[in-house]
Parts: sequence; structure tokens; C-alpha cells
Amino acid sequence: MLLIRCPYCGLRPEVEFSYGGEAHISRPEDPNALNDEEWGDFLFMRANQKGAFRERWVHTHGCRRWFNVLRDTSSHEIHATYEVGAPKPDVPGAAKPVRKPRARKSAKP
Amino acid sequence: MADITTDAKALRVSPLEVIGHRMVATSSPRVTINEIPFETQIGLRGDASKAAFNRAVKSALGVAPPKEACTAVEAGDRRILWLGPDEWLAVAPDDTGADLLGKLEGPVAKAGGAAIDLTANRTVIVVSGPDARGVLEKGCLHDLHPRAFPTGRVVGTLLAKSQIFLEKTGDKPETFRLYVRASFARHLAEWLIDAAAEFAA
Repeated sequence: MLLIRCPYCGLRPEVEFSYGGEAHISRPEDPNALNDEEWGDFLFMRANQKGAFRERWVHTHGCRRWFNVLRDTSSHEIHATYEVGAPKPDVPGAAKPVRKPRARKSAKP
Repeated sequence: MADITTDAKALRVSPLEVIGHRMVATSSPRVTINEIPFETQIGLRGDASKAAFNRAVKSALGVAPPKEACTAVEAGDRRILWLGPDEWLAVAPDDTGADLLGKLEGPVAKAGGAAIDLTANRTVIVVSGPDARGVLEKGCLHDLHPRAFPTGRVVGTLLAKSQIFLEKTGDKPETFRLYVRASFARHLAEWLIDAAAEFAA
């Protein structure tokens, strides 16, 4: 079981949390301006990253707040957790920043 | 014609009334399990950095909401539990709800928050005694040792797969208050009875 550090409550067991998928995906500001493919990209296409990955979690059974986790998807190591809206922490020891998912024409990161 | 009781208090049934006698039967000097039914519970939302919000809560309950995460404060027979960065649960004895809510609603709303009566949402189970920790540790993933879980600490967590707020209210003997949703209360109480059986004299 993972131990996840909730930014509000501290270190807690994984069962208290629920997963929310990839983080930092903004809803397009003008959905009507998008064609079907772009809208499909926004809805369904995710990076499926191997390695350091920014994702959303919610402390369902604790404080019920959403926050972001920087987790390595191959080793499960959690590099950092941070509040929604807080600056993104860097990947420790990484020479280059987290690889961007495939470019979305509409959504700004 | 027979008298019809119109007194709602005489008619109400707490979630664990039907198995209260079994909780008593399982209790021993090592661990006791009791329900405290009908405790007034008021959900508080607001910004604790606002003086007006703190004042509103303090004037009604006698104490301001705790700012430190996962802590509870006590003022006489009232307590305020930290549930989240902008969320608290005020707990007071039965029968004080209407009065408290009257005092809280207006001033808290003016301070940009909300006070809502949640009394029927959860019931309170008190587990107390030298083996109380041993009983809870069978189904709780938290370290309940006093060095990690001192008196005054409150966490939202799972016990026997039920969501609870677990509050430690005393050290001698170790006493825990479990705030469990009414619909999960029976399951949790049955689980506690089973877990406590081995400690019975």
C-alpha cells in the first residue's frame, strides 16, 4: 500500500484516497470552437506516462480535498504532493522537465 | 381512544438502540463500548483566517475553530473537530441544536461561511478502557499509540471499511469517540462487539 502525504492532513494510507487521473488538464475556454477530434482529445486522450507523472488524488475519507501528486508510474515513488494552484514541484534528479503529453491544440496547460 | 404520542423525542430511535444491550454485554473493565445517541452536530464551513468567522463561532460555542489540522478543541460539553482546511464539525449535547444553530447561522453566513445541522448524519460510539486501542487497531490503519495519536487528535479514516471520524478524548483510560454515519453504525457496532469479545473478562 502507498503512503500518500495529503497536503492538509499529512501522511495517510492509500485506502483513504481516490484517484483522479492526469493533473493540469484545463477545460477549453471555448468548447464550441473545437472540432470533434479536438474535443475528443480533451476528453479522452491522456499521456499514459512512464516515469514521473503529475496526477490528481482526493482524500476521500479524510479531509475530502483534491490535490496533485508527482508520482513515478514505474516505481510508485511519490516525489511530491502539492495543493491545487500551487507551483509545480520539479522532478528530483531529472535533467529535463516532465515530458509533455501529446500537444493539445485547444487546451492551454 | 388510545393516546397518540406527539412528542418527537419519545418516538425517535437511535441507530444503535436495537443492539445497545449487546454492546453493554460485551463491555468489560478492559474495554467498554457505548453509543451516545442524538448528539447535536453542526457542520461549519468558513475561512478561519477571517476574524468575523472565528468570532461568530466563538460567541456561540465558547471556543474558536481549531486551525491546526487534525485536532479538536473542547469547551465544557462542546467540542469542535477539524475536518478539513475550511470545514469543522461542532458537537454539543442533545437538545442544544436549535439554540446553537440560531446563534450560528446568521453571523457565520455574514462571515462568508455556512452552519448546517448535521445531527442525524452520524451517531457517536465511545470506545474506552485499557484495551480500547487494541480493539480499534484490528481494523484501523493509523498508528494509535499515544506518541503518534495524542489526546485531542481527530482523523477522518476507515475503520472496518466504514468511514469515520476518530477522535481521541482521553488517555487515562484511553478513550476514543467514533463518529459514524447512521447507515454504517450497525455494521461498525457489530464489528466492535466482535473485536472486543476477546478482551472480555
